[in-house]
Amino acid sequence: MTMTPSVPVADVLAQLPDDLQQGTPPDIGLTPTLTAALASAGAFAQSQDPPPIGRLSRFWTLGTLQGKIAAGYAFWWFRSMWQGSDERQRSLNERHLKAAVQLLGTMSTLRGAVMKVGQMLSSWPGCAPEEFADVLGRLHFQAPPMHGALVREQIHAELGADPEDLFAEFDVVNAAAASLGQVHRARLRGGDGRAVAVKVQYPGIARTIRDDISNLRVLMTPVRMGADGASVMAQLEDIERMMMLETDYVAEAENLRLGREALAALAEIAVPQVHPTHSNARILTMDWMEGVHLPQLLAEKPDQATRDRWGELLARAIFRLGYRGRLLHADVHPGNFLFMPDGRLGLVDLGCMRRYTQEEYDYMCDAERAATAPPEVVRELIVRGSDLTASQRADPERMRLLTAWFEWMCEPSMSDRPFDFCDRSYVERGMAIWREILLRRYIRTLPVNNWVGKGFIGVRAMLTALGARVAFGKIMREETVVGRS
Amino acid sequence: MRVTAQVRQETDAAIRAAATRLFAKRGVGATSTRDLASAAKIAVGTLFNYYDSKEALALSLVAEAIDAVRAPNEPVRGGSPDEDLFALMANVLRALAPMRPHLIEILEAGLSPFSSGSLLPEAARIRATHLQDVVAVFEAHGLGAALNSANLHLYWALFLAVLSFWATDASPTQEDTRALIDQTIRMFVGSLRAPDQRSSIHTPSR
Repeated sequence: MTMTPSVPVADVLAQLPDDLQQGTPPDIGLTPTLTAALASAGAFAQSQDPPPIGRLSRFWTLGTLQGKIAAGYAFWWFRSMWQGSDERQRSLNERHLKAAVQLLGTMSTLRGAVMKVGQMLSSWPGCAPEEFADVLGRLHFQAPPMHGALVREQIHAELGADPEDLFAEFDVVNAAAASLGQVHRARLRGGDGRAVAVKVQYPGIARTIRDDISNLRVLMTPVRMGADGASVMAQLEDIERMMMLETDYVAEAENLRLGREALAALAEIAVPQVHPTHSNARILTMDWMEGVHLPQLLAEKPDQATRDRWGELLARAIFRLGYRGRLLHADVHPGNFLFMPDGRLGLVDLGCMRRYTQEEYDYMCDAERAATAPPEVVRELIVRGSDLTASQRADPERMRLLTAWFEWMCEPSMSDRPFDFCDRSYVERGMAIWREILLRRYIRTLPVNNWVGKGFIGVRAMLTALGARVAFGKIMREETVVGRS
Repeated sequence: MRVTAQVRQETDAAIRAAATRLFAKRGVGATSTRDLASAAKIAVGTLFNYYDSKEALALSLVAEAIDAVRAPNEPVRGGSPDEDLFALMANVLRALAPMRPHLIEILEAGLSPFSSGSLLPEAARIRATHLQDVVAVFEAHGLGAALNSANLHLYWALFLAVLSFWATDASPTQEDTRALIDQTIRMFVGSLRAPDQRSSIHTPSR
């Protein structure tokens, strides 16, 4: 249901040595290692080794594999691709895997921007070969699955009673996976006995993430020495902060409360209510919401008017959160939205949400206004948002590319007319600019922009997948007014 | 003077109640047999009519706690041996939760995997009963043939390792122990499966 940023892989890949700058897949044992794994896919699938949780074992994997660093994590994720698969599916997965490995190899040259391009490619349907997007989309942190007995013990330990005592009904078979655990359907005792979703976190996962980031920080010593070292480290620190927030369901409950408050006036947007008596830092109980995710909606082949309507709701919800609630939804992903049978759009996961500081909010408002501002205003904003040094500011090529990117981001909001997010030329232009930025390693930016970028790209990607035509600029300007009222 | 069965029962109950209280408060090592006898309002000599040592008494309390949560006639409750084994271990930990602060002492006193030849009778019974339950789980899932004395010895060592980890686990709600149990069991069950039966994920619960 929820996909978190593929932070471990992205930052792990960022540790590949400087000499892997050739732009070709590195021959460092990564591909042969995984090729060997593919060749013995049958035996590999039989391995039951759980992901090593515990700092020492994970560091050993990282420290000794170096260029094969990603393989350690990749094994874990790729393992899921063989679970219960038949031969045909395994063969397909193998092709995906090889393609993704090659892409991961080239990505090694992109260092600190790996996560951005990886997520972008997995978010943009049709922009990357299907196999890349498919495998990259799987390269997210995924906790091990939990059987009923473990779920029961988790709930008992965290909430002080067994599920059958806390709830009138509790389905031990999970309804959905979450990045850090899984979701179960239940029914409350007393009151209106409503149906609820109980999100249960895998034990010890927060420590795993902390250990990963700690190990990566050690391995990033060479990067720290670079020109943008401080910026990259600040970004890593910010990533760590956001990842740890995602392990804190108390923080997510607060995000849901703030989200409900910000979106209260929009009757067509639904945010589930949290039940604090059945929630804590590792268990989150909230109203159950019926609906389908984007793939199922698209399978119904909705007409254009329907697509446009859902697109408008999505855009309005995100802008309302931003301008009214001062909340940045940084994980706009199909798994976090429900298309409900009563016509409402459900926002079901607000774990990856960041509150804008006043400075960040002011910058965002300035950036939106700058869409129609003179070039010197745009330039000043780019310098501010990218935290550029004097020499970087003086680099005409850098400024040209960053300006092109900024203008591309603003394009859907330039007029009040509906913008067609299926316009291939728009998508391709964006990809071309992005690739250029990454190849030139223009990775310096304020940490918040990683999340802004992710959120913005996520919205555009979903609107493209929906095939929606949305008066993006009109909605944005309306919401700007609401935000200031 | 003849001691009736009822008097014996009452005296035993008083000893066990006193031991539960004192061991929880001070631990086994810091509680003397004199303390126990005094708390139970009996003579030290009388205490030894019931238990050979305070360690034997402590182990007897452990056995009683575990017995209270055993369900030997229901080895299969979940959809996989991993799940049932997890439930078995988790139930033991729940039963021993009041003794957690002093569990290391009790483990050292009589449950070492290296002392199978000279286990206190109570310790031997705890081991035998638990392994009996483990065998029942595997047999119920058709994996009984894979068990032998070597891997049962391995299981016992793993189980004691889990208990000793749990005894000093400072993570919130001892979540690290639950993760450890999950991973330990996956590893152990996986090692018993024939190659063509292994899967990388346990079967979901029914």
